[in-house]
Formats: sequence, structure tokens, C-alpha cells
Amino acid sequence: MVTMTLKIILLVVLGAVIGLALPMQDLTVLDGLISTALCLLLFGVGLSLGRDRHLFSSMRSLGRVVLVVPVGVAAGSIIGASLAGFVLGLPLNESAAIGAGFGWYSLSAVLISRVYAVEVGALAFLSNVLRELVALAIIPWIAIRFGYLAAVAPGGATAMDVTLPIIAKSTDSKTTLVAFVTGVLLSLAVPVLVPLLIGLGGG
Amino acid sequence: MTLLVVFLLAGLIVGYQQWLPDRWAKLPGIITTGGLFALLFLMGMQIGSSSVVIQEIFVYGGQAFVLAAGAVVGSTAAVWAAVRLAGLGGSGDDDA
Repeated sequence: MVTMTLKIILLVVLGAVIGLALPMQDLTVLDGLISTALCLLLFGVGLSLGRDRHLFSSMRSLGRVVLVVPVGVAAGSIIGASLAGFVLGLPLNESAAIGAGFGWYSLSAVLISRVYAVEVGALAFLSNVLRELVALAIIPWIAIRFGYLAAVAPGGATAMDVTLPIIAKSTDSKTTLVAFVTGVLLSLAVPVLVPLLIGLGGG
Repeated sequence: MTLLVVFLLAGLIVGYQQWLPDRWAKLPGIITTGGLFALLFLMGMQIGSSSVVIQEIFVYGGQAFVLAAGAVVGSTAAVWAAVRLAGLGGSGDDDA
């Protein structure tokens, strides 16, 4: 799994270097390719889940897990980012709102820019892009070191799409299902929590 | 987002109904591994090609990384602790 982490980092770095050297003028082409790859990936994840007969019988036993994990990810992200913001000397409302982006960089940045300040929106954007990249790199290691359910946490809202394939590869079918539900619930929470938390500072 | 859910559900149905011939049993693994590597490379290219992201890295990079690390560590620790407190262990959730 450490080699998996290395492969992930190498592929992203290789792509970034090529992107820097030969920047694409029309980023919509890349957006289209990424969306296509994601659709294919999720079809593949769905195929693997669907073929697992044991999964459907064990779904009933998921119970509290599908609530405990999203609540844990949400609370942990906000508290963790707030503590990091305290170390950096940032206002609590800004760091908490950035943490509540849960990796959904486009939406959290737009929400913060619109109701608060463009500079903080830019920080939210980059911070949540980095969260997604860090998550991709460390999920395989987290799964081994801290357990399968903990491996759902780093991805946040992206556990339903971008980081789902890595979670599926690093854990089991049951955890993949929990990850998907967690990602959906967190995605629904972003448009509510980000404006709420940023508003605590009075703007 | 809707499209992604449609593809996931389509895969679930095809897999559950066992419409995939046995000789294609390796297909899901090939799709997820190949697709994943393509996705990672393309995401890297997107970051490298985006002048906005590159500029922001120089301005906010350090702060953004500390905030991202805080959120990742905080969320992982919270789920790890919550799973233990609620007694929700399970496959792979034993201490390493």
C-alpha cells in the first residue's frame, strides 16, 4: 500500500509537471476527460460492489456507522482546521468555514468569496484542493494504520467521487458503501455549514 | 454529480444482475485501476495547467497546506475515536 501511495503521488506530480511545461489553453478539455474518467471509475466501483453478494446482506448491519462516520468527519474537519487556523493566527470563523468545505473546493470557495471575502475564498479553494490531494496520497496508509472506516475521513465530501476509487481499492465493499453515503451527506452539508460558520465572524 | 451517481448505480445493477460474462470477471479491476491512474494524471495536469492554482500556491500555499493537514488529521482522529467509542469495529478496523 505504501507503493500505492508513491504511485499516486508520482502520477499527480508527473501530470502537474507536464501541465506546467505544456499548459493546456482550453481547460474544458481536461475537465471533460476528468469527468469521463470519473464516470468510468464509478461504473467500475459499482460493478465491484454489485458483484459482492455478501455486501447486500451486510447492508442491514451498517446501522449507526452511516451516521457516526459523517458526523465524525464533519466535526473533526472543522475542529482540526480551526486548531490549524489558531496556530496560523487566522480568525476562527474563517478557518472553521474552510474546514467545512470538506474538500469540495469549488463550492466552498465560491460561497466564501460571495458572502465574505475573495482572499479567504482563494485560501479555501487552495486548502480544499490540497486536502483532496493529501487524501488521495494517504488513504491507503490510513486504511492499514488506523482501520478501514478511518480511511473514509480524509476525503470528506470527495468520498463519493474522486477519492471513492482509492477507498474501494484500500478497504472493503462495506466501507466503500459507507464512504459513498458519507460523501453524499457531507456534500449536502457544505452549502449549509460554510455560510453558517463564516457568518459567525460578522463579515 | 447526478451523472456520477447514474454511472455508479448502472455499475451496481450490471454487477448485481450478473450481466457481465464470467470471462470478463477481471473487467471491474481493470476499469478501476486504469481509470484511477488516468484520473490522477489528469488531475495533476489540471493543476499544472491552471495559472490560478499555481499563483495561489505561491501566495497561500503554506497556510492552505496547514489548514488542509488540520482538517485531514482532525477528521481521521475523530472517526477513529468515534468508531472505538461507539464499538463499531469491523473488518480492517483493528489496531495495526
